[in-house]
Amino acid sequence: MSIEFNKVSYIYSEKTPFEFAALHEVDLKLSEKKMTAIIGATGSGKSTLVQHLNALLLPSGGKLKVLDFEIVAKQKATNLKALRSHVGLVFQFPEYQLFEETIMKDLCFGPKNFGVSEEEAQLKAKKALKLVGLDDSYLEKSPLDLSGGQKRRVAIAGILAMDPDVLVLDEPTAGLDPQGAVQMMSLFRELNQKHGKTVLVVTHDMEHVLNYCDEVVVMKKGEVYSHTSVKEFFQDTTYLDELHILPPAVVRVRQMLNARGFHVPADCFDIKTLCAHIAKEVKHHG
Amino acid sequence: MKQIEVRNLDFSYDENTHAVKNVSFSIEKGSYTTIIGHNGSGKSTIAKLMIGLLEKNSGEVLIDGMPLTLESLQAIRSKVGIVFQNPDNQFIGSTVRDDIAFGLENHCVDPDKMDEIIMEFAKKVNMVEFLDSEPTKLSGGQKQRVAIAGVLAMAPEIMIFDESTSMLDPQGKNEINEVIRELHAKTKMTLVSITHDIEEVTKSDYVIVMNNGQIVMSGKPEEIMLREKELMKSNLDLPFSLKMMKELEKNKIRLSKSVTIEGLVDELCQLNSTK
Amino acid sequence: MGNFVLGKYLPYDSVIHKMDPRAKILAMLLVLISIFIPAGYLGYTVLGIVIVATVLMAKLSLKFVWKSMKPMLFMLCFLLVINVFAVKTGDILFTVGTFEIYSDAVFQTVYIAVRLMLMIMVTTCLTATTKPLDLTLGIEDLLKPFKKVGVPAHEIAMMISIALRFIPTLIEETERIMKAQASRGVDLQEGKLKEKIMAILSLIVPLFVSAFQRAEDLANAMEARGYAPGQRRTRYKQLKLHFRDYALMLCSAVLLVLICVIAFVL
Repeated sequence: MSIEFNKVSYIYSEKTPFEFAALHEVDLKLSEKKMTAIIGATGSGKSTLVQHLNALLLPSGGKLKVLDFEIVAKQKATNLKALRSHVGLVFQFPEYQLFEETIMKDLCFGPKNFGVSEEEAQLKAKKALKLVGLDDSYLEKSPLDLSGGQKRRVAIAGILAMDPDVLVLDEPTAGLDPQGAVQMMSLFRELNQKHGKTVLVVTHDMEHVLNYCDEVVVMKKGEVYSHTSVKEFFQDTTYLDELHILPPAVVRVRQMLNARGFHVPADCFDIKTLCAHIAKEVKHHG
Repeated sequence: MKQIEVRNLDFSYDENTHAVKNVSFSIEKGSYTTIIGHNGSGKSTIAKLMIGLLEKNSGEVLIDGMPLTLESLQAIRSKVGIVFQNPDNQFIGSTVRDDIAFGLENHCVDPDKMDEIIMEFAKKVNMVEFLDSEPTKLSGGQKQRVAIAGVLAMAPEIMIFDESTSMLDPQGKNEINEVIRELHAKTKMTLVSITHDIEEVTKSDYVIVMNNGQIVMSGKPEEIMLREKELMKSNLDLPFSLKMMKELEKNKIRLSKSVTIEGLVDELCQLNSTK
Repeated sequence: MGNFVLGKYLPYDSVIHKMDPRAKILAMLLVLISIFIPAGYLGYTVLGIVIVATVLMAKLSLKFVWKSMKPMLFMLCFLLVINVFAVKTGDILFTVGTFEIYSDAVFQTVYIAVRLMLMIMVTTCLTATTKPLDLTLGIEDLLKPFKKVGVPAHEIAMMISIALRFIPTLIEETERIMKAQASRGVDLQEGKLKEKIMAILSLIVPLFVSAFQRAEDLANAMEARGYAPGQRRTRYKQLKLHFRDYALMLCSAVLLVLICVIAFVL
């Protein structure tokens, strides 16, 4: 187990009139080398949860283990910087963290902060830029001259250049058009499958959950409401209704058809098998 | 009657990037039009050109037959309201009440009459209980609803939604789409929604597809949304119903073409029962 | 941020809170003038009583007022040291080695300290009982007569109220960028000077970029809703003077006269 939350609570502005408990005794074990989606309504504690992973927020109660690091509430945490080099966290709209004159310099910023030499940082920068699908010709450009989608890629490359084992992304596709979003999600899936990274994605998009993730954690009012495999999650639609989640289109069509006399099995999650089933049933009737 | 006419519109931000190239279209009074395209296709630039926030290089924009010029700018802006993308950056007042009042103040409405108007439009977007809330206490969807109320209060004839839902969570998106649908059903306003959500397009009367600053095609969504090749070329997602139809065809089931999932399901159910 | 209380608004329900911001601003100016009149022990005793009474009427705790004065303490100590060296009149209070400390040095410092404390108390009475936005409205209305000589009262008020509106947003943004850069290994507490400069740059550049973006969006939104600087517009929030506001202004005028009498006649 690489990541383990043990009764972790977090309270914002503790001991002030603005006190607000964002997490209540969260227990959660995340599997290594998997891609996990974290979903839930706005204000359910998703962002608070993920910010614990690289110790940007320290628990008010309980303890958590991330890789070889242990963080216990009310105890002075040591080695935070080392933890941060292993867990890369990409915030929402990361393009706003770019600041250097050239993309090369910006990509080297993270690795150099963690004590990597200039030459090695440059190698890592080039590798990271390639991973996000931009070629070397971009290295000397100013990050501020890029288009929105490219900026975001560069910002994510800036985290990848740190070569983290765990990659955490807070709504990485917000504001992108559908094609940009699909490319982005495929990139994360590739990092997960080809490069063996543990990936956590906070998202609202159920299509992305279904098509790219292995597991799904549902947050509700500061607690982990459920933690299942993606397939299990989308099988039972009554459960989705309960959570006010609009299921992905494939599941929606299955639901609608079954309500009107079809018998599409519940483990049918892609358009190909769905259509094959429909065809079989229609022809069978004929 | 044509309420918006755009003729040979041309615009560039600088010499290298031509954002809008020779674009012409017209929009019927009281219709609900969507303009769709990927990020950077020039669709938002068109919205800004339509209300004179950007100055065109050449071409013409006519609202109710009145050309958009420096002189007619204020008159046109009182006819055309716009709701932008970022909920935070268009919240001008310090509370919901003040934000709705902002446009009224600009139109020199009598302060004694403002409370009544504010109440009326806060009701329309379901924000009455938040009238005295500050923006930091509101969700993105709520802020966008306030922005809509602020624009509606100025009684425009045309409303433009410039990617107004793209920064919202699913709940916020639903809230705003609901408001748009209600405006379309209950008022005679002309609605223009700039979006990259293909499912929203299927609910509109008319659709304009943009790519590289040009119009690729336009027409009724039922027709446009089936033109697979052009959609793909414009870097757009295909509607789910179309993806399914293609897949069903491979399985030797041919359907008459439908752009909505509901229509597709209806037809499949008929096939299943009649055969 | 949370510990800094000078100028903070406290949402209590008191007579002073309900008063018109214009009346409060004018009253504050009158009292400030009174404080500057050298009216001796009697004068400052009268002023002190009146001001403390006002603080209590506004339901502000003396602890809060004391807290807002704290930043000034350092300045006063500094002043005392300077006075001890510079002022050589009056009686010798005591000697440290060969160094003599005169009574006037202490008196002058105490004198300034009292004035400063009274001034802070008066301004706190205004800022703690008036919402920043109402304060802006009050300033706008009071500046109106100066429009003819080219003071853009409305534009100033608009600028202040937009700044006030966006402060929380920018604070949130700053926190987010700080966290994002901390994730990239930025450590604002430790490191060499060069690293610290980089750390600050990594915060400031993005903050500026996003602030400019926001400003552009905001300008577009304002323009689209019919705003044009300098153009005539009405105002939703109207200020109205009540009996209590006239009473407040009258009382402070009377106070000023009284202090003048104590200073120049008695």
